Amino acid sequence: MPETKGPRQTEGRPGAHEAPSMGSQAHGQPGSPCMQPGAHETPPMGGFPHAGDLLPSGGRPKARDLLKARDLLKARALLSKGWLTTMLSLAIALLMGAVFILFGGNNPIEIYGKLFSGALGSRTGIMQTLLQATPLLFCGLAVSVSMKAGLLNLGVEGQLYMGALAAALVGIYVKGLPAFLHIPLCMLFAMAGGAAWAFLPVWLKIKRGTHEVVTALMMNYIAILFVDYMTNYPLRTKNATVAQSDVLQATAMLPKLVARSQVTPAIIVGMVLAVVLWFMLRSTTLGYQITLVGSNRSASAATGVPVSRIMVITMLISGVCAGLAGGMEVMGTHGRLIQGFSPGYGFDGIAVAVLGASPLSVIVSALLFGALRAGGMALSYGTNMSVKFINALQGVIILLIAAPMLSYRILTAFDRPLRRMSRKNSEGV
Amino acid sequence: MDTVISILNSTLRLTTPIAYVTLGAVVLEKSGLNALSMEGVMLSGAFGAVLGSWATGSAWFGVLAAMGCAILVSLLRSYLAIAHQANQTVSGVGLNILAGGATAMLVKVIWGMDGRSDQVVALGDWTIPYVADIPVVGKLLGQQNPLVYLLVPIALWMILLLNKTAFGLRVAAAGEHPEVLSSLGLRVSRYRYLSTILSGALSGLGGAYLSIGQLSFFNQDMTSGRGFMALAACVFGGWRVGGALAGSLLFGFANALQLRLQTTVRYTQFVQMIPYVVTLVVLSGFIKRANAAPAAGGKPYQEQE
Amino acid sequence: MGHMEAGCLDAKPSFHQAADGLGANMGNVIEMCGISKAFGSTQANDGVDFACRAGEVLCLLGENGAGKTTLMKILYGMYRPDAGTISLDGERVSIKSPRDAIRRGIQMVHQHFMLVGPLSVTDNVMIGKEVKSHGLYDRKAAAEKVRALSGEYGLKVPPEKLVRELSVGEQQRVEIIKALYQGARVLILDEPTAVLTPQEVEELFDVINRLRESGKSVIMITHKLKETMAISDRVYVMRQGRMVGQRKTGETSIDELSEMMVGHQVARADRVDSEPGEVILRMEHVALKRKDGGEPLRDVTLEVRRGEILGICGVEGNGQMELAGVLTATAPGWRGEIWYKGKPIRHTPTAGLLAGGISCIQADRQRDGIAMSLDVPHNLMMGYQQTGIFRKHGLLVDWKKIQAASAGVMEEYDVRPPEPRRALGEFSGGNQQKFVVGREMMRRPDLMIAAHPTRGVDIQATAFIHGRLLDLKAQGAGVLLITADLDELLQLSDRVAVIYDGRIVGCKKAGEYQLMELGRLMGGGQSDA
Repeated sequence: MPETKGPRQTEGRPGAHEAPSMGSQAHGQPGSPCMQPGAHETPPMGGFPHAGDLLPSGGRPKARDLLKARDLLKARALLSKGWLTTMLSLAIALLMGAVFILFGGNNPIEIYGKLFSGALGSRTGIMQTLLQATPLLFCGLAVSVSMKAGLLNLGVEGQLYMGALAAALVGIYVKGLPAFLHIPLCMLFAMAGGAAWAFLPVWLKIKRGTHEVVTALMMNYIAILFVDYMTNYPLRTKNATVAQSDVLQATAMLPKLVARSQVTPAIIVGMVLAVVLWFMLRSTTLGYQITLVGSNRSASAATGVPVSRIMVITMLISGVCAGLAGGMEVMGTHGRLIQGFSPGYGFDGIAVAVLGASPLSVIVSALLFGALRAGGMALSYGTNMSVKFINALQGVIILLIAAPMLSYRILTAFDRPLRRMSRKNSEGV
Repeated sequence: MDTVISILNSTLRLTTPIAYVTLGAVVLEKSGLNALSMEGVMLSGAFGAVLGSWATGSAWFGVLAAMGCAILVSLLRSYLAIAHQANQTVSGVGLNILAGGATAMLVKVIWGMDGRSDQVVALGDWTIPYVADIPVVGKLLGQQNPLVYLLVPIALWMILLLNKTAFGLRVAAAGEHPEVLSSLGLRVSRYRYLSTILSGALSGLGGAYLSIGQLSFFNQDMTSGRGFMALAACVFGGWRVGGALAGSLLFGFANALQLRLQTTVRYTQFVQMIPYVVTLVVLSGFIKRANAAPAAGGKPYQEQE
Repeated sequence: MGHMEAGCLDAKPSFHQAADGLGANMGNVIEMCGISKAFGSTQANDGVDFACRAGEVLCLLGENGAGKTTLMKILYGMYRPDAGTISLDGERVSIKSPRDAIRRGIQMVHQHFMLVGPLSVTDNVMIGKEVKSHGLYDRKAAAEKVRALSGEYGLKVPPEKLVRELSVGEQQRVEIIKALYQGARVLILDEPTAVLTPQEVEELFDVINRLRESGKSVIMITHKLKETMAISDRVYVMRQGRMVGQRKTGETSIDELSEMMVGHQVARADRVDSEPGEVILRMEHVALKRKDGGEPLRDVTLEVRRGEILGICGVEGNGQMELAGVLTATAPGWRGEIWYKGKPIRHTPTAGLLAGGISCIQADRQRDGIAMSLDVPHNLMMGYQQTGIFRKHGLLVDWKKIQAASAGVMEEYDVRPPEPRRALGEFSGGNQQKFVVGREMMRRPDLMIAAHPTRGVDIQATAFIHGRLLDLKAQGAGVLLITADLDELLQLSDRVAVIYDGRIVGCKKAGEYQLMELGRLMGGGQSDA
């Protein structure tokens, strides 16, 4: 080997363009902590081997190596997009669902077929899908926004109930307003109700360092019990077997979007909200600060971002989305406040948000989970499967997406050079 | 007097399931994995107990099955977190959702009912001779579920294990500064997996007590937040076995009080809120004081090959 | 590579002879032959030969990134070499893990200590090889062992104390006791003097001498020439992944070693004396108490003028970081008075200080300086979100402008690879540091707080960054330089203030200090004057 060989030379070699050498300045600390474990904030999508590190090292590169390096780069580029990981997680979840179905003595193809036709096979099915997708969209946005700031709002379920309660109170007791004022007023109160319930977890996190996940979950139980009380005692309508309130004033009810269905313009509102949030996160200074806080709190503070304020604002936005979810259910689907009306939309929102990384893709994943839920409800009739099957699927999806390295390893399982190099890379930390 | 004894008695009974899970949470958190998944693990244990008892007709096989189920489920999450650096908060939440969905679904598949299993053989109480005849004490300690009695030796053993053995020392190192273990050529993952298994077994016992100790059937989401209360108790106790047990006693008492008041108060919803409010207060009141959280807790650690 | 076989030292007479001169009856404990190791496209070790004898103190000399630590981590089993062989006592071995290395009596004291803070000294020493009785870990017997070892080698530490309550020097002693307890015959010390005062260095050298007398081999990784001359028997010099050569310490000089180490002369940026202007920053009796009762700052009084560099000198952990925190409003609750540009800044938030012309190169860049998971433009925007420079239509972010600025900084500061769309975590540490320096310089600050500005970057980039700091001073800005590197400090600073235990214990012109006097002040002693 020529004596002059050194990292410097790599700059001049062919192909160095596509595969620039990672940190290859002449005296660069070898194996410097590009991905030091534990030393930095957890990157949201785990760590992928760096393109440069996938390059075979030392000596003059052979043409074959360069070709391979380019393929590897492509693989990495694909993975870093995230959608491949998402698709893979979805596929694995469905596969595991099939195992569950087999366990219950059913034919997976038959069950999945039934699920599909239940969701999209008929007009009723499609309407049911849209109906279910609406609260999922709001809840998904709520969780998604909170995750952007590095928080995890698991209090969406409780915030949804409080939003619903606030909307119901205004909808029932404020009288004599025209619809174009009454509906926005109800929505406003729903937002305020959700935001109010979201405040305590983030405030406790800032002031006392309490993990927001646990406090928010406790707040869920409290909110649900409180709505139980309200529907059982002060608001309870007469002569009803279930605990529920009176019907809202006609002026507070959302019109129907599609005739002979319960689908309301709420789903349009949700989509508009998604676009607004997407734009806010991408192009405004507030959105930038939210992203920064979510990526590295300590560095944000050091560069003048008011971290606490940003965290509170984000959580309030999240609570607003959750409150709207509940308000829209009351003003649209049900027309009244019913005890325990949400079958866990707030928790479904986690799966929706985790699957759709940005607010725009949350629209898609909300529709997907809406369809799953609609199909799942169809399953309850005529099979021994329950709609809870969908929850199990959601759990699997969340677990898989929480571990992007797993999908990455599965995708590269059959590519030995890539695997070898990614192992080398992990050694170099 | 009878009221006091009955409240104390139900405190003891309601503390037991939380106490087991709290012990599990302590060892898991000590090793550097966060214990947000305890709810799902405990639920799996409760389900496994009923399944095992139903299948074999023996409640003690049910207890074994509970431990097995809970261990498997917690290993799933730890595997993702250890081998694939999964985000522990998100994967913990995912596990809870999976456990909730899968158990409810399996209940329907196996017993054909929505949300509730058939009656199965439950663990019978043990009567301790002589002790049962002592007034007051006898009423409290004379006749209890075996799992209540079992808690005492297990807790003592845990104190010994975490404080007086090489294993305990290494688990503490894994949670505080995993690189130390790596630099000595010890595998961090080994101690985290072992802690996971231990914590799964303990939570399984807690779940089993809930389903075939107190009751004799499985109800969907029957843990209703006890896994999180266990986490709160662990924080309350500063990640020490003794303190954490004191924390679970507090939650047991809150639950007992709640049950007691339900019979006398009209608006039971507010009474039912008590344990959750206590959890909130405990967590927000103690986490700063107890600056004992494992330094590397919840952070992914990539071991060198 | 031609030397894949064991016994390569025989094939190279020069190596063999030099090693032989120390005593013919003592064989090499360790022989490493033709070791190569690459990380990605960086060749960290390239056909390196290395040998060590019993009872010998070796220095492995080289600049940052020369491959010294990599070589030793290979010996310690943390990395596996791509090529080459290792022999112990003449027998070829393969060291697959630190466990292997420990079993064979090789131990390493890392630059970042491998100690568990909330555990006691005894517990830390015992991990992995606990003293047991009746199957249980016996703390009392263990403490006795620690006491015995500490007596034998003069390593004073209290066995029952928690490690986090010890000073850095004491922690290092715990590390050495730990290594000895685990059965070290060969002890590798990675930059052991970087965190010590000159007095503590003396104490360490006493310990090393005792180790030598008892027949242990000590390999010290360092880039400090004077210390190399003072303690070692033999020196190996590495440069850019290759072994440049080896010398007996008695037969070489600082000049020769320095030339071997650097290879070619790097233009050094040296201080230009200038007339300092008005006072830009004045701190009077500033103290900081943390909520947990710690008092990192007790009494800091200093001033920085325009056109001067004030160096803050001290052992790490004596309040330097909190000083920077106070000046960037990230450490709230301080007492005392601070004036910046003549105005008190008690209630000014971080954003206001940045907007007012304060810039800060953070000491811990990965924690406080950058967002690893975000791309370069997002990182460049940091600190500018409150100002109007990168905004349009009021509240919108002007990403186009930021991208252009990113490209500019990356080019000027030679941040490689020049791909702004990558997440910053994908760049090497040195490149991250260059980016941060570039970003902070771009603010055109009136007061620059530079904490460890050249940490982890190579010699040329260090010289470049030094040059920029001197430019900044020439342009009339004040610079507060915090660094653990005494050479850097004395080379750049006009005045040097010494901080010890949260107090400024001395402040003079840089040229007026004797090195030992600095050391005494850093260690809490009195000044000569």
